[in-house]
Formats: sequence, structure tokens, C-alpha cells
Amino acid sequence: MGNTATKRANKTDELTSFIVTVHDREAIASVALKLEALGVDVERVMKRTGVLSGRGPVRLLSKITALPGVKHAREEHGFQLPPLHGSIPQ
Amino acid sequence: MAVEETMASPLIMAPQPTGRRLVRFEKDGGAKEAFKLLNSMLDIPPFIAPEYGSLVDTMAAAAERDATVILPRFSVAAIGGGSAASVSIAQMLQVEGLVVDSRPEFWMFALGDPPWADDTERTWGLSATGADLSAFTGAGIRLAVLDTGIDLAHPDYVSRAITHASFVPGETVDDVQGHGTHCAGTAAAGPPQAINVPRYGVAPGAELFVAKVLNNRGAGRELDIIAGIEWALDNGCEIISMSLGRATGPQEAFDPLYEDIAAEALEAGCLIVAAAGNDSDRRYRYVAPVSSPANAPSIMAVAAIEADGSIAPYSNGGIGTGPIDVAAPGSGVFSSVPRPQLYRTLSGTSMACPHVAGIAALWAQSDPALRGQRLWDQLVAVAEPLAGQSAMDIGKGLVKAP
Repeated sequence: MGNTATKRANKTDELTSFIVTVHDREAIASVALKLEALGVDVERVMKRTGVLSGRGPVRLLSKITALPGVKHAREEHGFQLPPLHGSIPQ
Repeated sequence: MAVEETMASPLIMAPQPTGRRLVRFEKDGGAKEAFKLLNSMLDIPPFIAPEYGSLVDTMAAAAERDATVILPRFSVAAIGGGSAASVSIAQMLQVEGLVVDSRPEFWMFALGDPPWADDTERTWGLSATGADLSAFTGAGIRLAVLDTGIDLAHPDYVSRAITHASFVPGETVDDVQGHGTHCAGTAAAGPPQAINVPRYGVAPGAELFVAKVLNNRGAGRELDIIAGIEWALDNGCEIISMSLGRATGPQEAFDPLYEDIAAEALEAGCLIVAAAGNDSDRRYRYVAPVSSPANAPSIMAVAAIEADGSIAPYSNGGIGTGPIDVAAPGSGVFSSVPRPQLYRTLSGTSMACPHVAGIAALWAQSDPALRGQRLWDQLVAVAEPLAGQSAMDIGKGLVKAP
């Protein structure tokens, strides 16, 4: 039981990459500041697309989502192409 | 080790005989004599146009009975009764000295209809989309390909002005994996420098922007991809081609992140096209939903077709929350790959996607008003439905060049 609780706590402390979109692209810098105040290490601020990225503990996701000015927030995923081969659809 | 399909293997499109024999007779008197003789040799009397009713009815009635048709105006007969019998009759007429020439009658097809094939001048994708006959090249249009980069020293690109950037930490734009050079080539390669290589670039005059967002192993972070979109928008690109994605689950909603970005891009006059994904296996009637990010409503989802005009067996369909918007050539697509191989034939919706990007560039050049949503609307308005293919699989149909 204790181990499970510890594991759960560790899980929420794991660092992850977040992707955040904002309601107002003009106000993206202020959202970046709010993210940093939460403890997110902001990596990229992309004003044209209205997207911010940063790293921080998984547990911050719900707080990020609730921040004023934030439209969507989630963990980052990745993409992987299949091996380049004539018989494998690309 | 044998390397698969380093060059296109053009399909040989043999003429298809109808079974009748087409015979041309001497015009001066010879034809009348020949028709008389022909009449006496046939079990089924010939149909002489326009002896019975209209010409259309006569031809239809003759075809129904596999009967011989005589066209007196042109001194021509199509001799029915099967290929062996028609050859024998034609030879007998030839012996009589009445025949100018004789050959099998062949089925004729409307130009531009499937099946298509690579030939010495162009790939089948260019024929199918009409890019090879277009008056436009994409000149003045900025087209971005977000992928594994490009081999800048490839003979087909070494003298080309290509704006490029790498968003993959520690890697230059140079393409090691090969996927990016193939996709960029389909979208916008110029005339190939090697001899005996067909034209394979849809929009050879487009300004090519290449962002490396997938690393040398073909993997990529979403943020690098979004950064690539941002870069393309900053550079004023009118079209972004993304042959990448991830499989989605049944009824999985589209990702609002990509929808927001693509909607912004459309608003800014930039069309994003993406591969629909290759997770289907139609041999078992299994059709997978459109991948993400192609399933976002403001991203044009591209399905892949084969050279016979049918949906590719691997191509995802509009069965979930995201529809297929258009289709393009995806199977057996010949394009460039990094040195030393230079060229390779690959299949997938990744190959279909840059066809659409290239066609979009041709349309964008044809009319400066065709940008963003209007460019989207034009592509779907002129897309061609394909016989026997459903909208669920190919959307509005095969993209067509102006």
C-alpha cells in the first residue's frame, strides 16, 4: 500500500513536456509568465500559432489547464515513421 | 544485398482488342464489292450504318449481337464473330485485293482515366492529376515540406534554391532516413538531372521550404513539428505538406491543438495538407480511422489511390470523427531519395500528401485569390470522383491540376 502511494507520488513528480495553446495570441507572453510562476520551464513561445511548450512535473497539468488565457493543455506526444521500405506503407 | 525497386518499373499498357477486326477497303468501287462479298461470307448479316434507324442504334444493335458493322462513308468494316473468324474473313477479302489494311479493333479509353502508368516522361501520379499537362509550375508559391529533411547535394536539388531549417536538436537538415527527400521531390522537384528518369515533381517551379521535424530515425516530437509550422508561416508559405501522423482510435476526437493551429494557418492564407495514415488492411475489410493530425477539420486529409484508380489497401478512411477530404496517387510512387540511391519507388499516404501539396501550388499560382480556405475549396471543387470508390475512402475524389 505504502509502495503504491510512493509510486503514485513519484509518477506525478515525473517531468514531462507540455503543449499549451492560448485564447489570445497577443497575450501569449503573459501566459508564459504564468506558466513559469507555476514551475514550468518554458521552452518555446510560438506567437503565430499561439502555442507554448515547456517542461515540468506531470501533476501541474490540471493547474496549467485552469490558468486564465489557456485554451488547451496536454502532454506532448511523438511521431514515428515506419522503416523506409518499398513494401511497407509510408 | 538486392535493393528493391531503385527505379520505376513502367507498366506496359498493351492495347486491349475487342475481338473484332477493323478492315479498310479501297474507296473507288472496291468497298462496294467488298461489302457485297462480306455479306455473303457472314452467318449474321452485317449492320450497315445508317441503314436501320439512327447510327447510334445501329452500332448498339451490332455490338449486342457481336455482328459486323459496315461504315460505307469511310469504306471501313468492323468484322465480328470472334477474333479467329474475323481474321480469316479479312484474309479472304485481302486475297481478293480489296483490302487496304486490316488490324484488330482496340478498346479506346478517355485520356486521363485510369489505369495510369509511369512512362519515360512522367510518373503516373503526374498523369493522374494532370500536373504534367498543366500550364502552371507553382512559380512564386512557397511550399513547405515538414519531414526528415532533404539531401541538398542530390543532383536534382544541388542547384535549387531551397530554404531550410532543422528543428531536430543536433541534426542538420540533411536527410538520412530518406522519407523527406521522397516527399519533397514529389511535391516540387524540378526536371531530373539523370537521363532516363521521368519527371516526378508536381510543382517544379514552387519555392521549396524544407523543415526537418523528424530525426534521422524517422521520429519526431510534436513541438518540433509545430515549430516547423510556425517557421513555414513566418516565411509566408502558402502550403504546408505533412506526411506524418499517429494512428487514432475509433471515435477518437480530433486534437484541438492541431485544429487551432490549422485554423489559424487557413486564416493566414496557408493550407496544411496531411497524410490520412496507413493503418487499414482492406484485404480483410479493415478500415482504420484517419490519423492525427490529418483528422483535424482544418487540415486537408489525403487518402492514397493506386494506379488503377482504386483506394490503396492500406489507406485510412473517413469512418471515425475525421473525414477524408481528397485522394492522390500513393502506391508505387517514384521520387528522389538521398545519395547514393538517388531514386526509389515507395507507397503510402505519405506519398499521396505531397501530390496534393504540389497540385495546390499549381492552383495557387493560377489565381492569387486562391489562398487558405479558398484554395481548399478549389481543390475539393475540382477533385474527380473515381468509379466504384466511396467518398468515405477518397473524399471528393482525385485532386486535379489547373
